[in-house]
Amino acid sequence: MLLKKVRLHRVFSAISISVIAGLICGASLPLSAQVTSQPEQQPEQSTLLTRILGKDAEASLQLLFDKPADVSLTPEEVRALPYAANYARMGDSPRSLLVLGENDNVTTIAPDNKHVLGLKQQWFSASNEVVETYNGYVVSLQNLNLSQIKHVWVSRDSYSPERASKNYAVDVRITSPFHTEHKPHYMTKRYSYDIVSLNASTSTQTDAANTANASLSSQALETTSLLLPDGRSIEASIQREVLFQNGQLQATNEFYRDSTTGRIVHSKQWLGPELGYFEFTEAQPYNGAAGTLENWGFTRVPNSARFQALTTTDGSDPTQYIEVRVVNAANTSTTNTNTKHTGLFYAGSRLNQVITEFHRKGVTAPFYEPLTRLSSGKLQQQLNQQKQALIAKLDRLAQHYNQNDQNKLAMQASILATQLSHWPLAASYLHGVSLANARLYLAENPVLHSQDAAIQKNHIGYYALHFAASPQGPKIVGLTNTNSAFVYVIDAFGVITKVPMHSYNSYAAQREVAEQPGAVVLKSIADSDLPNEFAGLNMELAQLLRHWNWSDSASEESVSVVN
Amino acid sequence: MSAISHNMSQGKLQWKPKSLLALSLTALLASAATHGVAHADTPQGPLNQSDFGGVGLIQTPTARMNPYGELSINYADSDEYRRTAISLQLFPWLQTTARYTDIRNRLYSDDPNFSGDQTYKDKGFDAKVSLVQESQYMPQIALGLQDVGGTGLFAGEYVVANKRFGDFDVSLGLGWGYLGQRDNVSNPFCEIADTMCERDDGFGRGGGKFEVDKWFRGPAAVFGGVQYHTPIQGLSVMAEYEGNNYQQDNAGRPIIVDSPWNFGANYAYNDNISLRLGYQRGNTVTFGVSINYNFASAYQLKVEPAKRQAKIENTTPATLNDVDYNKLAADLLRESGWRITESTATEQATATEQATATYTIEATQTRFRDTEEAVDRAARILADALPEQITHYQIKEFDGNLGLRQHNINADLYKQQYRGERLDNPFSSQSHSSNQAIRTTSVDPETSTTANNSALINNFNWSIQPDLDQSFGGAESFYIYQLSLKASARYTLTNALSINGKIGVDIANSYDKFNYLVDDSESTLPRVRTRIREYAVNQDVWLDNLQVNYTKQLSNNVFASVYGGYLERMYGGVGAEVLYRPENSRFAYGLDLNMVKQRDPYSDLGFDDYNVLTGHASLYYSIPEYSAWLPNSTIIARVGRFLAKDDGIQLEFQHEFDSGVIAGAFAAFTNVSDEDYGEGSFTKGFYLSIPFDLFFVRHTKTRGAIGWMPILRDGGQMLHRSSQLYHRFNP
Repeated sequence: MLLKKVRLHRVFSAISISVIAGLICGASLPLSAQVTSQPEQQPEQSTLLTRILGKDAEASLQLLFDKPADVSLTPEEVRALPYAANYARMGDSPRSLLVLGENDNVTTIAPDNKHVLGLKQQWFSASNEVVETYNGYVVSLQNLNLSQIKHVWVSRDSYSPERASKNYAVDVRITSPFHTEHKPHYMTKRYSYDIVSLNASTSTQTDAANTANASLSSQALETTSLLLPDGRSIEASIQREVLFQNGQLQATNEFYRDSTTGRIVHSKQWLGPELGYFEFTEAQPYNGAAGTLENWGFTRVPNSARFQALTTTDGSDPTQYIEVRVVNAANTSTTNTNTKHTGLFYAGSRLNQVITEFHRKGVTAPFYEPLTRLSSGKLQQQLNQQKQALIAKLDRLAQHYNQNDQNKLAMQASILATQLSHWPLAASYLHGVSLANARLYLAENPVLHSQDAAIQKNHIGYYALHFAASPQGPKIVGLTNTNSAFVYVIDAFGVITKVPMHSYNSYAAQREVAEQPGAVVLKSIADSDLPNEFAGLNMELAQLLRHWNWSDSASEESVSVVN
Repeated sequence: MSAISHNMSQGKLQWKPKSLLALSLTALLASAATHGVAHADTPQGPLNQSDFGGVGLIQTPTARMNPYGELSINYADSDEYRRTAISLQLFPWLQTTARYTDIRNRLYSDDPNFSGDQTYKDKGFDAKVSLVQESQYMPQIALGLQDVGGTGLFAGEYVVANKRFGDFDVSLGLGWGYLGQRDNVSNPFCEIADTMCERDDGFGRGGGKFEVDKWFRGPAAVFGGVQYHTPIQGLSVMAEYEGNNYQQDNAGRPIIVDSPWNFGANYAYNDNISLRLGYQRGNTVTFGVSINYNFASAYQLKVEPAKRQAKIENTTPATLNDVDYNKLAADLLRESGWRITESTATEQATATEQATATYTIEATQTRFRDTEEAVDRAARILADALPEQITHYQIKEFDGNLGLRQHNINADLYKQQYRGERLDNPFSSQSHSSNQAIRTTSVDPETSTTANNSALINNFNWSIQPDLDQSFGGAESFYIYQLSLKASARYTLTNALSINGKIGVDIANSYDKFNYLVDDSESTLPRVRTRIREYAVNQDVWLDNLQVNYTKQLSNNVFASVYGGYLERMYGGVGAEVLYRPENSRFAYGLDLNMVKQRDPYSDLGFDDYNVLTGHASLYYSIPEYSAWLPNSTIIARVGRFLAKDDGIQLEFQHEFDSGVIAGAFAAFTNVSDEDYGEGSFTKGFYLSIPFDLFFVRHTKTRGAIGWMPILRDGGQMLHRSSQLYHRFNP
């Protein structure tokens, strides 16, 4: 388990409150015991402590005094591990052991512009926490057992040792000011940094002024000898990335690379002020290579061409199949355009099969998973109908205002109607797809049925999978020039929040909810200005904006962090 | 428990309108406004509490409200007055406050034999309602009532507005009564009706009434102030202009006022503790402290097994014969708290297969307060453990032999969602969510084994709990307590029949402070409750209750119980209750009838002569959760005959916060005259019910309660029945 310490903090404070509250109540820990005649439903033996304190109190006390220790294995034990495994440590919490679950092919671009295959790896803890790395660089941590932070995504503009990154962003999925444990509410908080990459011989150049023209030194990297947990002693080169925020040095990432294999065997990577550093150390190495590249299930569709509806040519039933159209906006290519692929799958395939297959020939940059969208032909039709209905409603609203001589509001309603007709919307079943969780949990790995996709008889129904790059920030839509008291924020996960935006109705941490990367922020006519029959209008607009298409190149703001 | 009423002068205050003379105040407010910082914020977390308790400045209230669910326990010392107040933000728009004011220069009564040297204590209740939310140009506006329903020493009404200018929060209000004594402005209502110009200065005998006919009458005064939130986290400073001039205060000695201005500082050390310091009336240093806790967000992390997730590697058995029933039962108990009832006490027990591919369990919920959560967890376990051909799961939720609810799970639909077999269409109202797959209905007792099983169970449970009985506001000593151990035991003979009892053992008490066993009251009512001290002082070990209970479910929605024995500390007898509670209805109806006899405080098991037939028809109404004003609330009305043979109605209101804490209040109105009732005029009380799983890392259904009845009298008193049928559904 990662990070148990942070979690314990919370328990400490809560228990001290309980003691106080117990005293106030005048009714404290119940002392009870039970004699009962139902042995088969009594799996747990009662101890003396249980009998005296009651089971609930005992469990609370155990948590209070239970201090987990570092996982520590002898080199022999490490070598005996049946799976590839890494030691992981977050901040100063105890060290844990993660096991390699999955490898996916990725490509990196060498200086000569050749694509080289690398690996995206998913590491799992015993309690299904996930660490995802891309050529050894952490790209996400998921399902964290923390009270406040559930996931972290890290974006950088290069995942290749050959090319230094200039930008580094840590997106933390954290409890928002609107959160209570009874009504959870999370937001994505971004920490952005400029990187100065250096090795030991250039380490004096940590001057903030140089961040703009920083580049990897061509001098030889510092090397050191490193003793790994399995007993091997290797020569490792050290690469350091110094992270600056507004000219202030914040942290330093360190990567120790095995000089013979080129693999990162030990690293210390910054995950923002709440979590601190994440240390990852190779224990039992994975020596496998990228998988087979033959018979890839996808075909490239030229950028200029449109997707074509597919039919079966051998007279077989088209409902046996589904077509999956992939629009990928997360490319490191210099052209900065989307790539389009089409693939044919058996109906009833699960989502992870499709995404895994798409990785087989390597993807050039990790997707920003919170913005992955899954659509179907049928769903897109329904969205278009809703959109038309809402445009008509806005027109009626404009008429209503005009009839009441509320000209400014009438104009605003017209502007919204025009905007709505131009918003790039792609109907989506899902808001955010985690490949790791799709592999862990069936509920997050939906079946792709043909009947959900089909729109025409005799054609093969299609699903559309949209991958997006890490967004630069939120997208503000609607009456962008108005100084609204409230905005509707639709975050990357489709959660809609009405956020107060002024000093008289909010505080800064609340307004940060409107600054989430990958969120759409709707500025609209104030709810109080809407006539009764249009009362839910802003919510309806927000519902539609859940389907914002972040991989649409027409949506100019969805340019990737990647240069 | 009681106090004697004082200060009931009936004098009238003649009052002359004056012109508005608050220019200096408005000038100050305006200058503060222009110096505001451009981008300051609404303050985060609990706000400053005034000396009276409730969000305000020093002596004056503001229009601000605390976050929903915030409980604030306050102590404020302003030399003549020492105030202890509890303030609760019951709804986002309603703040409620209860308070004791210790007037240190006045004695509790003129009779030292009665109350010794105890100083005077005055109770008070306040309410503040938010009328207008702050917007760009509009201020936040609130209406408040101070010290209602008490002796009215501090009674007043006010309207106050607040507007934020950067880090400055400016308030301006108009006060009547105690808050309007300075009389610096003409009462606007006086212009409308002459009767509004005068305020009857006295209070009716006994106090405790809402003297609506005095509200907003008589002298009025403008008050106001400003609070500056300093750049130091948690520190704010305040200045205010008071509406009270202390000329009418009755503090045992005159209160000297050198200045209408008060100054103060508040330091919030964290979200739970704040300290205050003040300089009031130009001559007095004051201090205060507040302890805060939020009922809406309070939570304890749980170390329970996580809710199951469907895994690809899980395979379900091919037939029912392959099901591992022992594991299923253990998993259900461990992960979802369902203890399968032993209605069919054979090996796998408990689970009965029906021909219609429905798998039914009859079970008792042992740990989860949130039944929906427990049902969802159980459905996951059943989906993993049962063969695919089972199309429906039924969980019949039992408490003893009473079938509370039946949870019907459409297994096919549920599994589709659980296993990601169907995508959820965002544009369809018929989404495949688990809510659609689970329906709750009532339990048919005819077809349920547990309801009819009369086999001997022979189950004995016991527990020991410490118990602290407290009483505030007594004449001899303000705080009287008894710490005891309560040993409870329940012997369950069958699902229908049980015996339960409770014995109290005294550990420590301060009842020796009692001078009188019975209050010197002129009431003509039978002493049905006011003999409480006789019970308290006479026995170190006592029988709280010992009774036999028999329950029966008469039909799907009708439940009955019969009970007899020593029902509570003061009464024994027999009784019966019937509850009609249609599932999925907001209403429930109950009827109870009890023939009881008063227990003899001077003997362990004996009875006195007084007996009474008491009972009530009850109506329970749960207000819809989506209600804008009163979400998650229940109203209970009981009409019938009370212990003192008085007839009337008891009204009860309760609100449940997200944390499970329930705040409630009740009041009884019977055909007893105010004179016969005595101080307080009618029986009323408040309570908090606190779920213990706020303090434990495992789920538990146990609750603790704190109750407070400001004055104990004999009218409007109910029999304390230990097991009420409605509470089995809503613990």
